[in-house]
Amino acid sequence: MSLLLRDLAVGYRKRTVLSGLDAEAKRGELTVLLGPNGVGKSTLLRTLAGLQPSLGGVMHLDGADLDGLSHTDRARRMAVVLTDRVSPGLLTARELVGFGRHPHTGFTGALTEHDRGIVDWAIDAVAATHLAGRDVGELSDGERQRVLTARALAQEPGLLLLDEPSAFLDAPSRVALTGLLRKLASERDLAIVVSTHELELALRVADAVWLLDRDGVLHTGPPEQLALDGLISATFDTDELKFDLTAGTFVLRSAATRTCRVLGADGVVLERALTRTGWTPSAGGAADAEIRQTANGYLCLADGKTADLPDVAAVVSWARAQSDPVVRRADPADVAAALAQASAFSPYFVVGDTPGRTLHSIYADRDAVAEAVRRTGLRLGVTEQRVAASTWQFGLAARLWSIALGTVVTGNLVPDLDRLCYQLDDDASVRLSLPEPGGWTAPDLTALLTRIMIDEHLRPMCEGLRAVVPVAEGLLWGNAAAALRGALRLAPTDLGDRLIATPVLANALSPNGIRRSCCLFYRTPTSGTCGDCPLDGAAVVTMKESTA
Amino acid sequence: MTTARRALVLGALTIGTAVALTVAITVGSVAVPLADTVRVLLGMEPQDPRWTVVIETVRLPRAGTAALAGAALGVAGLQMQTLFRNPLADPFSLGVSSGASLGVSLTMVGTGGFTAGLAAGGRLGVVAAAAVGAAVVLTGILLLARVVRTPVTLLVIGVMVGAAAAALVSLLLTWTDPQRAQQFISWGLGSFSGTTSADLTVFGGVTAAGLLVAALSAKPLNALLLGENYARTMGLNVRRARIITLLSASLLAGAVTAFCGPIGFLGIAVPHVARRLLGTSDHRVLLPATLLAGALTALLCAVASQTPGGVLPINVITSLAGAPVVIVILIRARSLQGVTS
Repeated sequence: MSLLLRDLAVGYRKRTVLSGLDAEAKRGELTVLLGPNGVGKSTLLRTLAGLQPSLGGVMHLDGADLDGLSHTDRARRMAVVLTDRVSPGLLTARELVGFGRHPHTGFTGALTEHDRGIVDWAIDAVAATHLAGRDVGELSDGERQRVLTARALAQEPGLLLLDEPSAFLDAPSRVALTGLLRKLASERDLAIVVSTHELELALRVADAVWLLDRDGVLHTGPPEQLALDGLISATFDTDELKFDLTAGTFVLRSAATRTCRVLGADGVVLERALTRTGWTPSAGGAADAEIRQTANGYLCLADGKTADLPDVAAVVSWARAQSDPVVRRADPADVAAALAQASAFSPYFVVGDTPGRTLHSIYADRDAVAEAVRRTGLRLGVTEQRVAASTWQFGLAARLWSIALGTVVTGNLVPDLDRLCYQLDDDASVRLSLPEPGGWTAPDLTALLTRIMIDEHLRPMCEGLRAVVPVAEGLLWGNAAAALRGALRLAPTDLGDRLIATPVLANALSPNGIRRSCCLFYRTPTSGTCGDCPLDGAAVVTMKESTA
Repeated sequence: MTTARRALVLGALTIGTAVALTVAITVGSVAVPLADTVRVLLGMEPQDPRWTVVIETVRLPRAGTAALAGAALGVAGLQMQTLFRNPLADPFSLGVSSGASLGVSLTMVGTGGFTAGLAAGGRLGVVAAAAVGAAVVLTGILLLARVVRTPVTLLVIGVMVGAAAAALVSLLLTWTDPQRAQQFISWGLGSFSGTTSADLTVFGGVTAAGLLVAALSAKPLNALLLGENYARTMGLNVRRARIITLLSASLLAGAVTAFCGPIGFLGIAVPHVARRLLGTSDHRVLLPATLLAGALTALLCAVASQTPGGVLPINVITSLAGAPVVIVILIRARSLQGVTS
C-alpha cells in the first residue's frame, strides 16, 4: 500500500513544470523529496495535495485514483503540512488540532467523543500535550509546526505530505521534527513524503529519496544508492561546495593549491577550518604544511618553521598568515624510511617515543651542560674541563650532522631536528631520538639546513657550553666543521660541501682540515695561550677547580 | 474554564439582549411605564389603551428592526473578516451598500420614468430600489467569486465597485434639487424607525434566511482560519464555502441597507468585541455570540438615539459611542488577533 505516481505531469496551464514522473512512497517509510530551488518540488507537492490539478498521468493512493476522490475523501486519506504561515487568531492548540477532524465531522463541525480521543492521540503523538491549552499565536515556530502536524494526523491520513516543514525551525527543532516523522512513519504505518532543503539531515534519516535533478528528472531510491550513483553530487555540487560521499555531508570545495596535512584526532574538524582559510587537506605524500595534534595544543609546521599553538583559534590565524611555502613537509613514511637507513650512520639515534628532554632546552640549561661535561670528563678520566667539553660537543655535533646528511642522501629530506630529544646515558654517551617521524623536503635544502644546524643547534650549543666552561669558540666551531667533514665521508653530498663553505665553519678549519684554534693538546704550562684562548692567565682549569 | 466562560458570555449576551429589547420598547417620545410595557408585550391591557398602539405600531417594529439589523450586520461582518482574513473587512466591503445607495439615489433624485415612479411609491420604493441595487452587486460578486482565484482580488474589486458607485451617487446628487438630496442624505445616516410591522415581517424573513445560511458557514469558516490552502487539504470545497459565505453576508447586509440605510460601524466592530469576550475564533461559538452582541449593540444604539431633543441618526450613535469602546478593547488586547494573517 502506498502512493504511486505514473507518468505524472505537473505545472500550470501555460507551463508544464515537471513531466514523466514515476515514483512510489511506501507506507511505513519516510520519503524525502530533494531538489534544487525552483525545480518544482513545491509544484509537485501541491499537485499531490490537490491544491492544483495535475496535467497528466495518474496518482494512486492505496489503489484509489486521487483525482477521482471528492474533497472530503481525499482529506480522509491524506493530510498536508504546508509552508503557509498560519495565524488563526484566538485558538488553542487543541482547537486547531480539532479542525483536523474537518473531513470526519458533520455540517456543524461538532466533535464527538471519538473525535476528541483522536485529537488527544494526535497531540500526544507529536509530544505537544503541554501545548494543548495554549494559544496558537503564542507558540514558537517549532511548536506551531508540531501542532500543525498534529492537526494533519487528526485527519487520520494514510499519506502525510509536508512541504519544507523545517524552513522556520532552528537546528534542534529540525532534528526533533525529523525524528518525529520517522517515528510516525514506522509506528503508524504512514507513507510520509517531505520536501526539504536539509540535505544532509535528509540523507541520513530518509528511507527513500525522490531526487529532482536540475533537468527536472525524478530519481528514486535509497539515499545511499543515489549518493553512490553520483546523483546527489551532480545535482547539488557547486563551485564552492561538493558532496563528500564518505562523510555524507557537503564540504567546502577548496580552490587553493597549497596542501596541509593534519595528524591527530581533531583532523577532520581542523581540515574544515583549513579549507576555509585557503588550504586543501593533503591526501598523502609531501604537503605544504603540517599540523600535529599534541597533548596540549597543535604543532603547526610550515616553511621550515614550527609553531606550538594552544587552540584552534591560534591555528586558524596561523593558517591564514602563511605565505606559499618554499620548503614542504615530507611524507612521514618517507621520513621514517630515510631515518631507518640513516640510523646506519648514527647508532645513537632512534625514532620513537623515548624519554628525554628536547635538545634545544639542554643548550640553555647550565646545569645540564655542566653535568654532561662532568660525566664526559669522568668517562675520559681527564681533569682538564675543556677537554671534556670539547669531546661532548664534538660527539653531539657528529650525531646531528650524520642524521641530517644521512637523510638528505637517502631521502632528500631533513627530519625535524628541532624536535630531537636528548638523553645522556650512564656511560656519558649522548642518545638522540625523534618522537615521531616528520621532516622537511625541498629541491634545495641548503638554506634550511644551514639555519637549523648552524643557527638553531651549533650556535646555541656553542654559547651554552661557553657559559659553563671557558673554552675557545674557534675550537668548538672547529669541532663542528670537523664533525661535518666526518659525516660527509660517510654520506657524501653537494649540500654538505656547500654547508662547509659557510664562513663560520670554513674559517674554523685550515685547508688541510686541522682546527685553526686552541692547540689544547699541544700546550705546555709555559707556552702561554693562543689568540683564541678564553682563559685569563691561569692556563689550566682542572675539573676540580671548575666544579668547586 | 474556557467552556464555562463561553457559556457565561453567551448567557450574559442573551439576557442583555432581552433586557435591551425591553428598554428599547420602553423608551420613546411618549412615556410608557416599564410595567405597562411588559403588560403590552405579554398581551395584557395597559392603563392607557393608546400605549398598546404606540408599542405595537412604533416601538416593537423599531426595536425588532434594531435587533435584527444588529444581528445581521454582526454576523455578516464576522463572515467577511474571516473570509478575507482582514480585520477591516465589513459587510459592505464588497460594495453591497454602494449598490443599494446607487439604487436609492436613482429613485430619489431620478428625473422621470421608472425611477420617478418608484419615488412616487415612497418608502416601499426606497426599499425596493435599495434591494435591487444590493442584489445587482451581490449577483455580480457571486459570479466573480466563481472566477477570481483569491478573495483579496474580490475585496479589491468590491472597493472599486464601491468607489464607482459613490462617484455615480455624487454625480446624481449634483444634478438633483437640494430638497431631494437632503432626503437621500438622511437615508444615508440610517434609521431603525422607518419600518412598519409589515416591513418587519419581510425584513425578519430575509434576515432569518441569511442567518440560517450563515450558520452553515461556521464550519467552513473555521477551516478557512488556517488559510485557503489548508482548508482545501482538510476537505473543504473552498469555492462552495466562499459562495455560501458571500451569499449569506450579502443577503444580510443588503436587507439591512434596504430597510435601515447603510448602517456603518456595527459590522466591523461587533465581531472584534465578540471575539474578545469569548477569547476564541471558533465560529461555532463566535457566530451566535456575534449575533447576540450585534443585536444588543444595535438596541443600545437605538435607545441612545432617543434623546429629549429628538431622534438622532443611528450612524451618529454607532460611530460616536461605539468607536471609543472598540478602540479601548483593541488596545487592551494589543493586537487584532483573530483575523490578521
